[in-house]
Amino acid sequence: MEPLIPDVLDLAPLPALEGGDRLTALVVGPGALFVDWHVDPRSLVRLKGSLEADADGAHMALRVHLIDPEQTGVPRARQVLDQRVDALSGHQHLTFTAHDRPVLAVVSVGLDDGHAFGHLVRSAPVMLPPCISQEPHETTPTKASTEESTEEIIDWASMALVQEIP
Amino acid sequence: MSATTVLITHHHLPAISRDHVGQRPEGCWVLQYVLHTALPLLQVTEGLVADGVPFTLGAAFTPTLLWQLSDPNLPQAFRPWLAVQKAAHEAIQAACVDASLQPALDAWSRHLERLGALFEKLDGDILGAFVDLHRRGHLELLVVPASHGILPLTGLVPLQLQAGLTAIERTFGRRPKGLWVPEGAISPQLTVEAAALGFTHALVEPEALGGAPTLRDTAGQSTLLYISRDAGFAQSPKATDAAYPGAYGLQVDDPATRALPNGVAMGYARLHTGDRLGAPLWARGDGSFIKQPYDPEAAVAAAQAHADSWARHQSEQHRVGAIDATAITDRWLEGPAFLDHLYRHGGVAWGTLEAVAEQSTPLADRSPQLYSRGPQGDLQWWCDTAHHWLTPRVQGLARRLSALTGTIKSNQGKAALAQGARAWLLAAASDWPALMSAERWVDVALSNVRAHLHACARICEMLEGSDGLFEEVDRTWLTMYSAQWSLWPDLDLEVITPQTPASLEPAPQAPPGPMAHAEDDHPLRLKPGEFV
Repeated sequence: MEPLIPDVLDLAPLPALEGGDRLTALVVGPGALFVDWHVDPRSLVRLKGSLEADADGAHMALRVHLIDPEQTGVPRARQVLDQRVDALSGHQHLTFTAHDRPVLAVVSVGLDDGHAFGHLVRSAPVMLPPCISQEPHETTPTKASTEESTEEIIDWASMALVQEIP
Repeated sequence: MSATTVLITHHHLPAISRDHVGQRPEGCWVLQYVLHTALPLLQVTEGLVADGVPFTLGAAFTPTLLWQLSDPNLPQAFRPWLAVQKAAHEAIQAACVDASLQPALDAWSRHLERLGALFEKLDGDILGAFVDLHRRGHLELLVVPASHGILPLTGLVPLQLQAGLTAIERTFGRRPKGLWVPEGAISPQLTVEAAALGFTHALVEPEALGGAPTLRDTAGQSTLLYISRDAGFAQSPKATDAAYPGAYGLQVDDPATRALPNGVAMGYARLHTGDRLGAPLWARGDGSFIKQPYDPEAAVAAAQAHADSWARHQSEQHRVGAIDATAITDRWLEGPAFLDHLYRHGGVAWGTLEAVAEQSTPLADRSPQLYSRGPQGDLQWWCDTAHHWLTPRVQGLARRLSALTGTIKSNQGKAALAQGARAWLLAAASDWPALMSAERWVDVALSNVRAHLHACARICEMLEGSDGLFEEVDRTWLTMYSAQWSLWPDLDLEVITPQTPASLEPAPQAPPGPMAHAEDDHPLRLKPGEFV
């Protein structure tokens, strides 16, 4: 008869993470995220199947978007990182220049020129901490690399990419 | 007379099943803590009390350690284990033919005898001795979150803080207002979360405050004072390669230093470490890493000189020397002598952290930096490749527990949910990722964290299917698991706020399809309406 409580030296299986597709983003520093993702291969097949014929070169990309907390209506988000990923599951440390702003990470399907066709999974939004300075209550966000980034309008509720502004 | 000086010791062990005490290597951790940390400290405080020396020692106990110290079977496990330590040492002593090592071996024999005698004098009640010290006004308590979790990463911070607070209150009968932050890991959100539970101040690493001795952070109605610990004090016993008891604060032109044998300005380094059997053989480090046989008298003299030097160090600001209790005892054999000498020094204005907090006028009023101890001063170390799978699971289970809070109505269901929260707290301990990253005791870390993650997930699954009406096999399993892991008996799940999805989260009627799934919450809890 098997014991009801396995001995702690017996490695109990890791509990599954909820959902077939998931993307966890953890703030690990000012402008630094740790992301851990898993995409169900069926999700990728479904998304690619819905794409146009010219999307043959599409690949998976890991993106990070800054969210403007002041915005109303359909939020706009600045992309601050776009990086090709080849694995359906993985984890990475990402760094970029931004602080005191909410961000989220997205695994998308897109092309090398940055054009995105759709999102497979996104993380919950997380808040980048302010960068400490000697001035009291310094909260001015850094722009840096965000200036040259692609700007997108995203329908967050459905996760569908509505439009891309070059 | 210098400004107020505070000394705080941090006492922590991860929770190891009481069934394993004295039976497995990790089951001996608590016994090692008793012999090499608690008893040496209590020996010092006993002497100070007997001599009428006024002193206050700070202590930040983790609930996981308190639970193990309150194990009624601890004395029965300790005595035979100590006998093995003594027997092994006697065997080493008998086999040793190097006469130069005899002073060290003799000193270690006497050391074991004294500590064993103190254990019997206390009737094996180590926790009771600390409680008594507190009742006499010599022990200032700080709260450590439940299982020493990395607060900015794990989630359920109010639960962790509350569990730490009630553990101290239940043991010592007092609700401290000061917080010891595990691994120095903080995010600006801590202000609101800690202030809500009545904390007024938190002790953190100097880097988190950008070098300021104190910061006052105000967020809405919440205020928390962040106090930096002395940057150098904790480095003293860590400087094992170049100096022991350490070069910090020990001035080379200090008259006390010059008076030492051989002009010792350095100290003593452990000659070899490893298993705990037998004497720690020590050697003098002369700065060139040439080891010499341990000289117990010179070692104590060096520690006392170090204490004199530190006591004479003048400061306009308060000084908070904070250190892991094992670092100033187990890893620094003369640490207790250092403490004893320091407390007997007439030139130090001893105080408490609470008094410092009340009297402090912060130079700056702002949020602290996101910070953690580690190679880079951020949280990356806690998401190491060696355990990248861990924190996402801990966060995922935190969300499931949060979602269940408020939905469970039956007493049986609430009891199960509380045990699920205990399993989660046990899994969220910083020890497991730390051990895996350091590649030490990896099997212990893996087996424990997997068992607790699995238990928490199983309980969530049970509750998601039923409000307390469990299958017989689940009920039996839960009873046994609850008996084995009985920490935090008065866990208050009311502090878990059911997490409201942020406005960015998919609406329930979101269209199905490959992009419909998303995680439903995040650790920083953005407010609804913040983005739309």
